Amino acid sequence: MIQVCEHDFDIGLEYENIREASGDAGAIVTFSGLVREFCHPGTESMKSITSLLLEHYPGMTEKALQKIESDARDRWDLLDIRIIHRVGLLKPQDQIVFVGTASAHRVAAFESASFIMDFLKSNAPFWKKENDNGEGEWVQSRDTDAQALRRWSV
Amino acid sequence: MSFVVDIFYFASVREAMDCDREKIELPNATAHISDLVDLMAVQNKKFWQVQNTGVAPLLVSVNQELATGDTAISEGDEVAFFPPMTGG
Repeated sequence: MIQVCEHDFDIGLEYENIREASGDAGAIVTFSGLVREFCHPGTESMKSITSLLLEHYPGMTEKALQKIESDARDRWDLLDIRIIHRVGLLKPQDQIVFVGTASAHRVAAFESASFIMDFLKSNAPFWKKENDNGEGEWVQSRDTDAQALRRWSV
Repeated sequence: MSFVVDIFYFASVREAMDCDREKIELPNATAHISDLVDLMAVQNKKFWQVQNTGVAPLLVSVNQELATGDTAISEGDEVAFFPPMTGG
């Protein structure tokens, strides 16, 4: 199940939805990503943000998420996958993203959730803009995001 | 003879172009994305700046699939330009 939405999500409800949909699962892994108030902590460019704008490419976003879901199902034997990604204007500590995976055993659930998050970072058309009291700044992609993909041998 | 494609811009590219979408009429010889990029760089100073002074590589999609300079384009295609993605 894939959802791109402006509204918030309830992790407890999503966990129950996965539990219900995944039949005889022995493992469910859930991940949630939050907006951080402080960017680049411990560096000279450390700053506090007032909001985060998440822009996306409607249509292509859903296609990209379906591809990531399908690729995860090709690699692991999964009983359910849920991906929720919010768009629009978010505040510090708001939830941005939810990934839940269910499988018979824990390794597939852990690894597939990590795989999905790595690909969400770099292969789905979302862009973040950090707003402070000035003009705001688009978040740059990081080398560590590209390195994260390489561990999946792609 | 010519054909028309829909161009979309997102995020920092949209801001630099000061525009989120436009239709562009192309001569038939514009067969691939690389031809389109070359033409736009000549015709539109803002696009040239995005292409040449942007801090990050410019990504492109055709009909909502990531594309390269070799990707073919034709009448009615949806072409989008944007910076590297930063989801999650």
